[in-house]
Amino acid sequence: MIKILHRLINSTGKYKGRIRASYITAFFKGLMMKAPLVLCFFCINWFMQGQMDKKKCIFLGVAVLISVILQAVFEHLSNILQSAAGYMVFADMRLRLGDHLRKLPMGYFTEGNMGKISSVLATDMVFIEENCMGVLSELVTFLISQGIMTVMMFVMDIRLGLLSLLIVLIFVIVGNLMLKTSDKHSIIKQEASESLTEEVLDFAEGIGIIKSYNMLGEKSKRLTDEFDKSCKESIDFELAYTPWSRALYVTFGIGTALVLALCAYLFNTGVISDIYMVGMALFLFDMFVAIKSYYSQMARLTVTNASLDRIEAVFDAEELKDKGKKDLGSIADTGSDAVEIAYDNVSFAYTDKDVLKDVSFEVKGGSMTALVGPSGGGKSTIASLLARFWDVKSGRILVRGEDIRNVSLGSLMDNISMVFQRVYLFQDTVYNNIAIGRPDATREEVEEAAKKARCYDFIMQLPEGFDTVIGEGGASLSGGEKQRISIARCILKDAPIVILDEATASVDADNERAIQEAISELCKNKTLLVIAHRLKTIKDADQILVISGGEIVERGDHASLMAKNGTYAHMVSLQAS
Amino acid sequence: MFKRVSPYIGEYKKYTVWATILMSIGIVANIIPYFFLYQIISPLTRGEHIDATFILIRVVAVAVCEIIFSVSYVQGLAFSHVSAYNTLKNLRVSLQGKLEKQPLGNITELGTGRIKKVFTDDIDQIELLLAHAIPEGIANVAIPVIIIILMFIFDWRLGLLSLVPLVVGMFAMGMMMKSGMEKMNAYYESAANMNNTIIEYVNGMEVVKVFNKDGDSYKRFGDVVRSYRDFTLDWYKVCWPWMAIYASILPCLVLLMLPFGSLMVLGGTITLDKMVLVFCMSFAVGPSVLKALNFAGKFPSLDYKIAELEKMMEHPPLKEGTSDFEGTDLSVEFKDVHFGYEDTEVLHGVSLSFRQGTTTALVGESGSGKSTLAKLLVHYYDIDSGSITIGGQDITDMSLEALNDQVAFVSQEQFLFNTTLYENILIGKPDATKEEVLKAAERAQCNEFLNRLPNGIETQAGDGGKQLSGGERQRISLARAILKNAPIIVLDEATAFMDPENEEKMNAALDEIVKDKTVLVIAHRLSTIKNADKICVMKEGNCIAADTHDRLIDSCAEYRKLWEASVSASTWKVRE
Repeated sequence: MIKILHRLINSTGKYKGRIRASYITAFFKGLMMKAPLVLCFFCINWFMQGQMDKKKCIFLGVAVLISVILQAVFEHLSNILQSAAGYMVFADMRLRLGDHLRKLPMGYFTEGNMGKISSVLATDMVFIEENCMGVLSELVTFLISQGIMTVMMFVMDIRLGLLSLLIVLIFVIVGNLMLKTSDKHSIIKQEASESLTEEVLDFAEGIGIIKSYNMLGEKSKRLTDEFDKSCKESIDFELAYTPWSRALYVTFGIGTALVLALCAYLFNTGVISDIYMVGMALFLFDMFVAIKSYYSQMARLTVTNASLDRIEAVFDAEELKDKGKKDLGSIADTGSDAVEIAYDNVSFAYTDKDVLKDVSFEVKGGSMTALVGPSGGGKSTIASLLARFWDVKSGRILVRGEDIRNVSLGSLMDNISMVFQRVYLFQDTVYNNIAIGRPDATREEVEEAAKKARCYDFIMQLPEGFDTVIGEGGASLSGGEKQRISIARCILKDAPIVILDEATASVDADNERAIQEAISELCKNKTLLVIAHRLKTIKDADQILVISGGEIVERGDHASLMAKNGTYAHMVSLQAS
Repeated sequence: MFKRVSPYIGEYKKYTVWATILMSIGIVANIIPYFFLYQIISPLTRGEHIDATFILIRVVAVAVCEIIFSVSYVQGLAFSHVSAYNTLKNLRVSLQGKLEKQPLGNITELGTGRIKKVFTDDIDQIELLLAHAIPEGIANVAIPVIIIILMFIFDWRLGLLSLVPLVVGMFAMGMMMKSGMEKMNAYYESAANMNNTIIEYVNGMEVVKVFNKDGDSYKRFGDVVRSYRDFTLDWYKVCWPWMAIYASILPCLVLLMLPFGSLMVLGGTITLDKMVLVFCMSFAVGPSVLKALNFAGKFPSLDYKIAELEKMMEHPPLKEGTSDFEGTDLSVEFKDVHFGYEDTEVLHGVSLSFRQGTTTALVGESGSGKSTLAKLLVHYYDIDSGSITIGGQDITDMSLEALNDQVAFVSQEQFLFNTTLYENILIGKPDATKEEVLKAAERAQCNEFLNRLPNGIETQAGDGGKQLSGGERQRISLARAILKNAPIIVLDEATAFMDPENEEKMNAALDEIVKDKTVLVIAHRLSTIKNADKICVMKEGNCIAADTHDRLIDSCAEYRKLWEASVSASTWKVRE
């Protein structure tokens, strides 16, 4: 179980030195905590020897005061060294994680992964930062103190030393068994809490169905039963742990009593003097307190392992290589008839499941290519590879003749705009949300982009126009309005290549019309790659690729594909009906 | 102080009481050995001989006390957990009850994330307070108080001296809270700020990468992380000195007793014996005092947290009657309906009626109130004034079950329970035969993908139906509605284009649902409702016209505008 401790200390990186220095201050603090006891021993000793006088009384007063002051000083130093280091460690770790995240392929940011990242950043890191760093040096000090205590016993008498060693060993056995139980049960508890969360989510998400299908009684009982189960399991966890913590306390009690018995025997046989006997009696209950505290504290840290695992999992995700130095802008504009985009035998697999097989096609500058086909066929994947959401497994994608992996990510992004169904707006002003498209744009240009994206009118109706803050705590916009703002961004960016997901989410006709107009503005004079769901919208495309099962099964323009009377023609006939 | 907790503890109160008693016994048993120590030290200070039996008895007594302590303290903790977890359960069940009675609309607005947080994280947080702060806190406060009173009885001067470090320590603690307060707010603010920025950083990653602005965004991320660190350290730097002072001084009850007690012994006003006893007592209470203080700050937050949870669920429950459906037929009438979310009224006296067996469409711009009006018929919310009746019976007069038997709301909801697809459809009519279920699946155009699945209709839906595409989930929900076969259908027409690749299948399934029913459609694309018996044009929360398509196209400018938008939207091409 020293492993967790080791793992925690290793996670502190360059602050390890500070944490180590805090062992010393924590140790001295521990020593000073015992000083009043030592002084009491001196006091009694002097009285017994008849050596007590006023001067000694004053000495005792000054000494105990100094010990308290020193204790406070050492405690303060420990706090500065270790607690402060803890916050610095995690500030650094968050920064490293932030940097790591921005280097991950965009495809990594799925909803599931985003949940993981948020819980690592918001829960796991905070837990360790607040609960573990502050006790780290204390735990190490406990081990050191127990060692010193045992050595002192050996110095006094070999029999006392052996007895203490034996008792410490029993502590180690009982303590480790306790931690093992706690480790095992914390997994069970974790599972129980996950199952509770699942039931609550099931209930909350399904409440519409539950109520309207008159299932409230049944589902409500099920949730209540789950609460009951969770309650029982939590109690079981506590009860499983109870015998061990009791055993730990009993070991402490019996061990202490045995030491007292041995001392008394040694005193009666004249091995130790009455003064020593008084001293032993005063220190009796401190004999094993360090090791007992060590194990009690450690039990609380067993959950740390899971947190550290989750943190490491996020750090382990592979970063997207951004080694390309080339700049697409420096490659001369090849003119409107040249090949702008080329897929050359591109294959791709998410984990081991093949998603694309040997996809090859070319897109000429300023032309429009539509990807159609059944959902799940791979058309979205083809489009997202162009923006390097992921890297191809084999083959290559060329933009203006250059492999996109040889181009700097920044330059590639400068050349591509994307319009997807998922829209993200920042909790910022409308103006800034649009201006992110091109930060050096003038106010006129931003307003112009808003007009082109059919946003201007509703923006002007917001309480503070372009300076209205949107998002949580600000003005709320409808789905269609958000979509248009995101298109305004792209219009302002004015990238030569546009990747477009044609589907407009379920919006009203008026909104839909406005979005469509905005998209048409964006697409003017651009090289277009369209993920199409409704065939009507891409009828006039220069090239239509029918994607199914990860392959291009048909290609051509509308007329030639209709003449072929194949998959495309069949799809058209279905949608027309 | 425990006013808010006590209704939830209920029958488990005795466990908490026992926990407190057992822990107090434990602490007493933990303190008594110090008296035995005193009995051993005392003769030694007088140079007297102590015989083996005398010591042996004390050794055994110490061992017994320690065992009593171990058993009763640990048992006390076990009891307090039994009580705590049951209290949490009762709290959960009670909040569940409150939640269930709320209008469905309110629950949806609350959001699943928020609901999850309340029932799991927030309630879990109370555990520490309930299981530890109450019994351990009480025990650790009570025992030191008793000991200090005992000290006063032995010698009031020593008792008084022992209080000084306590008072000084508490003063330091007060100073810490006072001087830390201002910094603490800054700390909490920066913590909240950091959390928001982190969420935005992660969620907005795609956008910032596409616009090649991840450098800027990372810089902002870095700034808040650093400022959180600095604010935290700022706060701690103010607190640490005071913390160090009280943590050092509070347990050191002998601070003044040692020198002044010694002087008193020298002066002969107290025996060495008595002073040794008081020393032993003060060593015994030190750890308890520190522990008690750690818990002290946590009591007020318990009440506060429970109050917060209760407040969240404190919406007035839905007005629900107990009658069965007693309407004369299935005609529906909205009469002067006013309704608003919180303070803003969105429907300003809408009246609309339609007869059994007809189709009525609600059209209007986004935000005109058409969806809200439709949801009111399924009693998602209580209206502010006016009435909604079916066959002459007010919907608030009948039970929700009775209403649900008459009206089905077909929305873009795609939620599936984590059981088989078969059972998910069966929900529509629990006593349906297998044939009826299969028939419903077929009518909802599910066969195409059911045949593809290895286990067909017996496939597990997976968490929320993640094994199926959105459109497929949607069709399973439609099969459910078909099986339910309620005579009145409220239909969100947008359901059809949730799955554009399979729009024709969606349309076929919807046709099956509305066949021979009384239908209210929330229409987005006007071409689909052109033939409705009645079209109600909504504008800014009012129904401005209700008539057939042919008449509205002539008489209603608003409708004409909507129609034109719809026509041009449906003929749109990415590039002309």
